[in-house]
Amino acid sequence: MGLPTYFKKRIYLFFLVPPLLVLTVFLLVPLAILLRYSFSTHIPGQGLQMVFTLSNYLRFVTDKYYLNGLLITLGTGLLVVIVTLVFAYPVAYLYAKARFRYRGLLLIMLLSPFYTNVIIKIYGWMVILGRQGVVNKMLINFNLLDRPFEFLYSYIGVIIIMVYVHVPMMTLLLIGPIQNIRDSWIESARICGSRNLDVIKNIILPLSIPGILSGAIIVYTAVIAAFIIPLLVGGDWGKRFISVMMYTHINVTQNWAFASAIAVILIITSLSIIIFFSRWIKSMKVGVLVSEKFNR
Amino acid sequence: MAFVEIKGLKKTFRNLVAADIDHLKIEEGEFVSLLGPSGCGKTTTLRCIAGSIEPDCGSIFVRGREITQVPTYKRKLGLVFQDYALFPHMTVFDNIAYGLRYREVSKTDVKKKVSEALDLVGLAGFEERFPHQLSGGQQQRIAFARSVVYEPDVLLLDEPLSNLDFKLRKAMRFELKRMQRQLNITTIFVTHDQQEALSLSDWVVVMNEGRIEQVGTPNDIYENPASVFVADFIGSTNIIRGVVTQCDSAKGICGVSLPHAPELFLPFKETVRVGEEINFIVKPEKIGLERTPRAEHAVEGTISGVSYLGSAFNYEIRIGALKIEALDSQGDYKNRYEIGDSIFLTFDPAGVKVLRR
Repeated sequence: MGLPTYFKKRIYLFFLVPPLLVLTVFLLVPLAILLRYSFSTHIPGQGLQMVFTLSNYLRFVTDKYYLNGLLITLGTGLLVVIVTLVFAYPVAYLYAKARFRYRGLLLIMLLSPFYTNVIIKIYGWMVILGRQGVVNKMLINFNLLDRPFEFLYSYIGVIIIMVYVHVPMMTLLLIGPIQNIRDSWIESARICGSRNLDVIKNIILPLSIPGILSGAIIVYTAVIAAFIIPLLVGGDWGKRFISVMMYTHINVTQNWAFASAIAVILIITSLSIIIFFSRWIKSMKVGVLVSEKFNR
Repeated sequence: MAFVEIKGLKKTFRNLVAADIDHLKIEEGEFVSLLGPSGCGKTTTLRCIAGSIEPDCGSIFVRGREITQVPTYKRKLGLVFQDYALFPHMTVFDNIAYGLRYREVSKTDVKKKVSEALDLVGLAGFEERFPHQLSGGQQQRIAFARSVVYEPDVLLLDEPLSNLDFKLRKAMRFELKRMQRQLNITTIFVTHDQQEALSLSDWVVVMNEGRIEQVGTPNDIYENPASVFVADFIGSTNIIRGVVTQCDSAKGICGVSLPHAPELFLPFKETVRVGEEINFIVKPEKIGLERTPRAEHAVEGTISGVSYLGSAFNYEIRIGALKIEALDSQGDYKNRYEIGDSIFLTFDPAGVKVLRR
């Protein structure tokens, strides 16, 4: 009415205001504070000093302890993603393609872990993997071990639980892309002369790549940010995860400045990884072909 | 032994007979259609031949070799799907060349064969395109090229024309026949479209509820349907079921009594007994319509529906409770009959057939 047409045409922008407000207050402002903290310094006994210094970052890049921590964190992310894929892909394939009778039950089993808090899952695994746990008892009873194996408070325990936590998510992310692979493509390849292995190599895997990569990105970022699992079951190993270091600096030494710098470095690293992989998926023709043009 | 032979093939899904074929023979170079409504077992039969379904019993021979237990990739068949099923991540060239990977063909020969196949389907120069850049008709041609490039023993077509629009479908029918003739490839074509089956095939196999109803040339199937089902499925036709009340063998005319309709006089060629309940198949285009009765046994009826088809009129005529469809391709638009007009029907003996099942 009274508004110029320029605004009338862009009235839809109004609906962006509430989410933008929420994001600004609860995400952007805290991030800005975090960034500011990372350039400040901490003096024991006096707390945070609002100066402007690069000392936190210099400390991080010159100290092998922290650089190793970053490498261990990123490497663990990669390892967990690969192991998770190995477990999740066949399940997703079973759900999406095979004429599997208990698909409904399978879906419930995939969704139910999401209703349980991660800490409860961890304590559940502690019972299973502990010195007196089911796994150790079985291994000893079958004479495969003569004394309990230390799954807990070691690297292997962290990996086992991280994989367990992320397999359902990865499976759910893979189901859609695998369902988009048409049976007639697979049949056509067979008729042309492909054996099962060739069908997997030439048809199923190439057409699954976009799904695999997007699942991998989500799980990867979740893994490198996780701190409860390495903190509770990592033992000495767990302290070498970057997220645990951050936690220690905040809760133990109260050095918010250095913790903020670590956080900024972690954010930048994971963002770069996400951007790099998303670009890579886009540059692959197969992603475009399968996701956009063929989902009629 | 015939080029393709199917013996005692049976496949059931949860007590439901999907396919039950006693014997089917196909000679080299023939174009054979499996025709029937959905669920008649035509696709199941095709998939048994392709090897994606394992039959409960029976055997399939191609070139005298039993392939029933042979895995799909060793069967030397070609298959075109209804959705074309081109590999979306491969170019047209890679799609067509896919089957050649598994045959010992040198790189230069692959190039030569692919371009020959593209020439055959009229899409030369399309090598580097991706499937999503092609129209439905083009995808269909590429799918055809992919299935014939490695010279399979038998080409299987699973309703390949169903996804195309009407005009394109008609054009592709001619194309398909031309390419099949040119390659002289033995072809098994699955369809529910009787026009496609009649126009393309050397032999038509009409199927119903898993079984073969009739095998014959297109003309045979159309003119001499073996059962009421075939007559009904093949084309719009009148099926009149009644009890024979009188029979004049000299004139070849018998009286038929129907429920809720006056006695009808129909010509017959076969032997008909008085008191027998049988089906008369009357072709709509073999019914004469006149305003005044000329023949002795003309039947009076009322026009209850008219549809103008451009080249002909399709009339629905009521005789008591009986509805009859007649096709008039002689009448001109000005002299057409209107709803409610009283007319007289004469039945051409060539258009009437007696069927007992």
